[in-house]
Amino acid sequence: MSAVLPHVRFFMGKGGVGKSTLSALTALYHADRGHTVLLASFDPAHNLGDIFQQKLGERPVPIVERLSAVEVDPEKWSREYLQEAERQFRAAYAYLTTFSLEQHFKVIHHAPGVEAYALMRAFDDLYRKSNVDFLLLDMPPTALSLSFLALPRLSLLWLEQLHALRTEIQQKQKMISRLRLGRREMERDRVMENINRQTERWRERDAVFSNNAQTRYLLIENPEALSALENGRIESRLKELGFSGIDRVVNKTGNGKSGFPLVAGLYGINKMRAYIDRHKSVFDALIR
Amino acid sequence: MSLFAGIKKFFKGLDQQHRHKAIEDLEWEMHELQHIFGLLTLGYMVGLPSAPLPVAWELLPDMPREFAIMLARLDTAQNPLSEQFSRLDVS
Repeated sequence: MSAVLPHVRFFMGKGGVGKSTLSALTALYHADRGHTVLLASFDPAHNLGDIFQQKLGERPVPIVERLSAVEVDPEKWSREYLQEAERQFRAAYAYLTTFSLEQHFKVIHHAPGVEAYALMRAFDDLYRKSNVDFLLLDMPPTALSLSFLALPRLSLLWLEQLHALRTEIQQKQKMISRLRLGRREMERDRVMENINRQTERWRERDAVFSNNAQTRYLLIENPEALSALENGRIESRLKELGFSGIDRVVNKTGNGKSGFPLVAGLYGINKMRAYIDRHKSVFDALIR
Repeated sequence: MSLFAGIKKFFKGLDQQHRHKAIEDLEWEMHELQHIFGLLTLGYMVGLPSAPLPVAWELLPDMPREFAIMLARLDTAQNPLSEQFSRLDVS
């Protein structure tokens, strides 16, 4: 585990509202003010590389001093996760030779939840190992982003129920053991240990997502109805999940209105720095 | 055998019979709970709503017993009443 756990910023919103551009500008703003920053794109349609005019990949690439960027490949994380799961399954159930595992895993690859969990593993990796002050995430389309963010709460809900059921099973086992042998000691319950282990890990993730001093959700929208409506739905869902650090940010405003004015062709470090300087007060208000 | 020893043996046999029956019932209940546990974690394989895939997948290597119960249940799934009747000694 790294010595410093980063502040996390999720950039969310409807496609095309300017999530990538604003996340890149915010990353540069922090780096220029002395913070170490890792900007990660979770969107399968990456364009951070275009904005910074640099080729990015799975490993962090230095952009300027204190700022690195990475384009996460969700497909690669899904593949690795399924390969690991298949290996574990084969080791535990080697005797099930008739069970058509290949077919099963082909189906699982497209099962709901796999893509969101693949992103969770990528997030864990960046969060634990990046050792930066700020971890900024340019998020994928809304449906996948919300599945990803809901995963800790949903998993904890299920684990709680499974824990209760397992406790009941253990009580029955104890009674049987007492009746049969007159003794109370129980053999080790690996399933319960597994449930407890998973609960602890999902609680840690949930704590990161719901700590509004550490984690904030920046919902980007444009001054038009559709992106605002979508952000309204995102905001409601985030509140349902118990997350409170939510800021709605208007991008591509007309001149003189609050928010970030539209600038055509905003890419490359020099242009980005000039933009930040011109709109310093808006960034100062946004960044906390 | 003295009368006292005979009575003692009778009650011991009665006790064993009741213990045996109680264990049998408890084992059946525990089996059913394990079956429910299996369904809640492996139900996605047969199209039932179940725990999120990552949770279920991580549990899987530690639950061969539930997995075996699920597979064994396939044999009796078509005729659950006969299983109940045989457990209750109804012929």
